[in-house]
Amino acid sequence: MQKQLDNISIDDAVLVRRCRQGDSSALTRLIVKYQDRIYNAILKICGNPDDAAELSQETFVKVIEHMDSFRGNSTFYTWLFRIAVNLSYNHCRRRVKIATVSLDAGGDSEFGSAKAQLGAWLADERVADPASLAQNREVIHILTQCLARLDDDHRVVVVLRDIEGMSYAEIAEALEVELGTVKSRLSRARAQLREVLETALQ
Amino acid sequence: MIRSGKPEIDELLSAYLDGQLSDRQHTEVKRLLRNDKEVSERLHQLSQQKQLLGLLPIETAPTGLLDSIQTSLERQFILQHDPQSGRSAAGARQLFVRRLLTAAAMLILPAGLLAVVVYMIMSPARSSAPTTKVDPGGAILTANLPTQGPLPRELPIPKTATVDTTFSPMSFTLILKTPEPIVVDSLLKKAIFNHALFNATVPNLWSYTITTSPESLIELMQDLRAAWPKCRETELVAFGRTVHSRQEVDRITPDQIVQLLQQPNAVSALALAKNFSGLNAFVAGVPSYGVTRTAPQEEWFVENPDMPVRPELAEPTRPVPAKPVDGPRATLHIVVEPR
Repeated sequence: MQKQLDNISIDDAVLVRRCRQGDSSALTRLIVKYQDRIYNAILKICGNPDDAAELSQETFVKVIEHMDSFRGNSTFYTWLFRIAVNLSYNHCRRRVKIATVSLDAGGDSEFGSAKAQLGAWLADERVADPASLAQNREVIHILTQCLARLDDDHRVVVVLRDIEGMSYAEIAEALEVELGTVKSRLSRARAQLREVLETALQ
Repeated sequence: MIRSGKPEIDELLSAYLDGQLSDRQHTEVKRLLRNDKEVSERLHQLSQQKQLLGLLPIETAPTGLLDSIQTSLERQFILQHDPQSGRSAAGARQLFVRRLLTAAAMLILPAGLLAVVVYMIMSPARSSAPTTKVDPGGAILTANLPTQGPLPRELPIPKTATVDTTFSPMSFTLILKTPEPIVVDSLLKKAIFNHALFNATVPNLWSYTITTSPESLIELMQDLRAAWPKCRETELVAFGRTVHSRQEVDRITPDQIVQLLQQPNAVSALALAKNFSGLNAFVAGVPSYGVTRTAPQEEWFVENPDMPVRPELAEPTRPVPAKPVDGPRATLHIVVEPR
């Protein structure tokens, strides 16, 4: 696994070097390689598909524009996510509040079953298959809305760790914060999410 | 002691879930989990929550993201090279200078007038060759102008950097109709630069008139081949200035242009152009022929070595020195038409 990760890292470095030499195919490979992950992370942070598409595009345009300034002190992967997260932060700040649909908007008839399943899973892992639960559109909707209710800093760190699967060191690099800050912020974010979920499932 | 407050325990449990604790902390959390049911439940909740988030499906990026990135970069490329933005900056400078001059004039003009009046009053009258006559009332009646020589019959016409195309024995107009005019235009500029033909070129907005030897134009055509896959239509009009005739060729190919340029004179070039015209019309129905664009947008983006996205990333190419033109010359007028 570690070897595979190393290879990915080396590939990125090679692709970045080729991009700098004007190789557009290398650039396309980098975009294709990361576009889904960037879009997915931004979507979870900003909560709107159109905004996520626009911010993803903006992220890659910025990456291309500033490719020369990438010194390789961090990995391309964390640098890319740093740009994506910064753009998402700015986007969130521009909006006073993320437009969220109330979980009650659909009524108990629409979300009742999902809420029950989700509540049961959080209380006891034996009652449901987590994989199938995570594919349930209503459960996804509830989780997404709960994420949207977190503070920006908390939402970002949860997305990077629990959804994108970044290590603490990578998160620290991407957010340009200390490792200890990542640890405490993530803990607070998970606790806040837990509270939001409990409220939503009541 | 670990249990000094809930946030601290949460932080430990969160780090425990992610395997980020030291050995000592790990052991202590284990001990706590064995002895405190509440902490154990808390860890369980966090674990379930983390697991579920990790299983959420990855939303795939919109299919057109790559294209939209390319479009965005092209738009920026246009804005960066838009003469309008330069014009506005130049306009601002011009306005500033104009205001400065106006202010200066407002200060200098009254001072100058005052100085003239003072000079008129104070200067002693010269006996020889008086320049002014003053009436008894003190008004200036006439002033002798300094002797002037005869005006030149013709004002010298400033020479502008033009290329003489009048005596070119062969002249062609090549029209490249393309959905990517910026890319094709940048290819053209690059080719002209690489062959050091800027002195032989009269540029205009998306059109270039190049008058040089047919050999130089043939070399230029080698670089311009890259423009063909980006064009929907290509059209050539061959003019024979000495025989006052013209021939249009649709779907012209780079090879055909090279062959036309290799002709010894306009008559044979026109005759060959006529053949090409008939041939291209005949094979127009063959899909693989000519300039029909079949490659999807993504493909050219992958393979295109001259991407417009970061022209400064491209390897710098040194222009080859221009060859002196002593022999026959030809004129190639290239027009890029957005389509």
